[in-house]
Amino acid sequence: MTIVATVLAVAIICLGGLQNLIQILQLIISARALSSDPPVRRASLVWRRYADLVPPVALLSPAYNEATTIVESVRSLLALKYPHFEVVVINDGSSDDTLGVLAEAFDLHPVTRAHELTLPHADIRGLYGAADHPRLLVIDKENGGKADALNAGLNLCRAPVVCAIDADSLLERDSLMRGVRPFVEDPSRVVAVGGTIRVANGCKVEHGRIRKIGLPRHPLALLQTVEYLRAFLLARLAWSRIGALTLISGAFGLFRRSAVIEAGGYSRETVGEDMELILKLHRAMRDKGADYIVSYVPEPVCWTEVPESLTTLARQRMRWQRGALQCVRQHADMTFNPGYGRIGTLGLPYIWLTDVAGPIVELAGYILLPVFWASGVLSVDYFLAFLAVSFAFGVAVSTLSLLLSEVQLHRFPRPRDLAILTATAVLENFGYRQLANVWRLQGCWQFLRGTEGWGAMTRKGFRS
Amino acid sequence: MPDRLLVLLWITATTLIVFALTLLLLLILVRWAHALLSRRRRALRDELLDLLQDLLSGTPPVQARFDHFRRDRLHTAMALIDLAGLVDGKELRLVLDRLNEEGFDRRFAGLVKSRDRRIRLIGLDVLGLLGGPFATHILQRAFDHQRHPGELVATAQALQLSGAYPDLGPLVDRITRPGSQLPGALTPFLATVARRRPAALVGMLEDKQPAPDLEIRIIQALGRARIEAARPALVKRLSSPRTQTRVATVAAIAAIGCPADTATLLACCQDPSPEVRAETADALGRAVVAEAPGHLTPLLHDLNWDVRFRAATALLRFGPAGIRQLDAAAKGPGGAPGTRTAAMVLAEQAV
Repeated sequence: MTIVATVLAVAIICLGGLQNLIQILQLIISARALSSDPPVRRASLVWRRYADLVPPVALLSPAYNEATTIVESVRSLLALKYPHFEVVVINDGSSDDTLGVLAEAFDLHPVTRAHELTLPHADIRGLYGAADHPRLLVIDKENGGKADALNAGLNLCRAPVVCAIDADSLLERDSLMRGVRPFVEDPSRVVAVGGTIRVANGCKVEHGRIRKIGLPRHPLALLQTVEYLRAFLLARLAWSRIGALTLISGAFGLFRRSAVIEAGGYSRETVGEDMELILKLHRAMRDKGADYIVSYVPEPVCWTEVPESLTTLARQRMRWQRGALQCVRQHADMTFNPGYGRIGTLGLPYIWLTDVAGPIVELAGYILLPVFWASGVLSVDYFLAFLAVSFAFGVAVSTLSLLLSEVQLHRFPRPRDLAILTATAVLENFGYRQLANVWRLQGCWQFLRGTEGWGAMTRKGFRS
Repeated sequence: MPDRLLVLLWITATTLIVFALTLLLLLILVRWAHALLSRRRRALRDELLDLLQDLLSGTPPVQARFDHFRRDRLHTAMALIDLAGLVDGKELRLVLDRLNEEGFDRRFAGLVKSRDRRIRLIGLDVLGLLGGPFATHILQRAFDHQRHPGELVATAQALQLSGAYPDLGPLVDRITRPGSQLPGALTPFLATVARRRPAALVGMLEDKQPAPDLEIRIIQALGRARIEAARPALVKRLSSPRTQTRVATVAAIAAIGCPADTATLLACCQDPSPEVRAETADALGRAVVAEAPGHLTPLLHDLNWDVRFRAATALLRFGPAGIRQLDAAAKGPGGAPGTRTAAMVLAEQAV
């Protein structure tokens, strides 16, 4: 019994330590990446160098029951600073008046557009254009889910580069220009580029644009702000640098249209369609022996509203977990397969470690270590010391990623905001992190039970 | 031994927390300083705008203004780069010339030697904007000694901005290293070279055998700049074994305009790659080559949607003759891809 308990305790501690070590490595890689290729802060410089070179982009914005935010969101997209783009809004069979408010706000009229059903999707009910906004195309279709809506957009748009965004997100004015940079710089290799997602709760929005960056007042949104900072600047940047990026957020990602179509478009069978697409792109490119890049650029920022209620957040996190598990199951043959390069040997095993083993190990640690201590296997001194190291790593990683973000990107204008974020980065380790792991475990359980669907997401809309 | 491990664990935990929090505390202080500095940069930009107004109205500039600029060369440089995005070239030149007269080229030269890469890049950019013999001399020296490929391209870009032209041969030799990727900044740099000194790029295509990646970027740059002199060199590349090179070449030819002898281009309608066929359809449509409709009509029945669609839209450019061809295709066997594509393109055109 003692031997089993000791082995378990050592396994938990080693796995936890491995996760922490990986995060520290990510931090080092990200810091090196940002110092060797520093972000271009002045938009005027990017515009001056790239404006004549950028390819046309189609912004695909799937909308389901977004009547409260859709007009503001579309206005913000139409106001983007970019030479050639079109905005394709896909009304995915909304049961509210999403199409009606769009028709009223933009004076929509029926149009027709030649297209091929290259990717499968639910029936299209109608296409609409706006006389005053020639860049806008609205697709009204039967409900089929986000992936289905994006496939419809991919079939109908014509630009060589597509940008998939969430209808409830706001892009910064020069986001497209910054995001498209890798496509200009390495036109034959780059197939996908991800940008940074930041939390918009607490920011002041006017006419679909962020006017003043602020921190959310709700503690749950504040905790997610730190979480997003860490996830994007640390994990995404590091993985993209070593060529093992497995996820570009569905809220903001740019793709070479032909590559996505060749890979088979978005999968309608998973709720993690964003991760699945990236894995599919890796698979398709590797299978045909192509030299390609899936990149992440920290500067282009997309602002999104995060849940402020525990129920909605829990639902979102469980869905993310289910999505990740569906993806790793679907692409299980790539894991530890050297034929898929670093994706097979690093990217996918990392998902197994963090998304599959991670929550189980961490929660098992919280439950078992006190049991071991109570049964005398682990002394109280060691129990406390391991707990302290685990928390210290968490705090250090959060605060250091915050530091990296601020040194390189200067996103929070007020020093007071930084102080609040620092405190949040410390506090998130006491309760929130554990709660997030519980939700992830619940997501695992849902996955095993075969739960389907997205679940309802309630939104408040942006603060004007 | 176990006690040592315990102590080590506690030391690790404490060190990590203290280290992270100290750095953040420091950051908050730096952030405060940065807020002050950005206010200063805005003030300097306003002063540069005031200087411009003085120069435009013929009022002698206030000397104290130059003292402000001298006191903070980094933020003046940043403000100057900002100003370059705000005012037009001639007006900017007035300010730059005046700053050169005041010896600012020498003050900014120090930025290029900074240890911080970001400051070095700002220095390069601002020296490129200033131009003049001294700035060019400093940039040339930086170019000769630069090792980092990205910075080398940035230096070349600055040199070009200053009016001097770096020798492309050595630049290319130094950035094309086996196993390493070309620096991203090379694309905008080549675009500028193609606009200002196209002969250098055409020469590279004709006389040298650039690495495939570089070759594609040169072809794209020449196409974007619509350099007619590049056409013969481009036509030769239509038979390249690399699909990407052929795609880029056809796209460049489409932008420049078709050569007098269209046979090679027309032959690309039978290229094994759908990307090349689609680009060829585009090129033929844009140039309205007389013999093209006969070659475009078979492309309407291609297996690839992109090829069919681009052939159909190319036919539209031929006016009534093209529309007749599309009409005929639309009346073909129902359900055939070519029939559907022609019908859809005609319907869209009608709306």
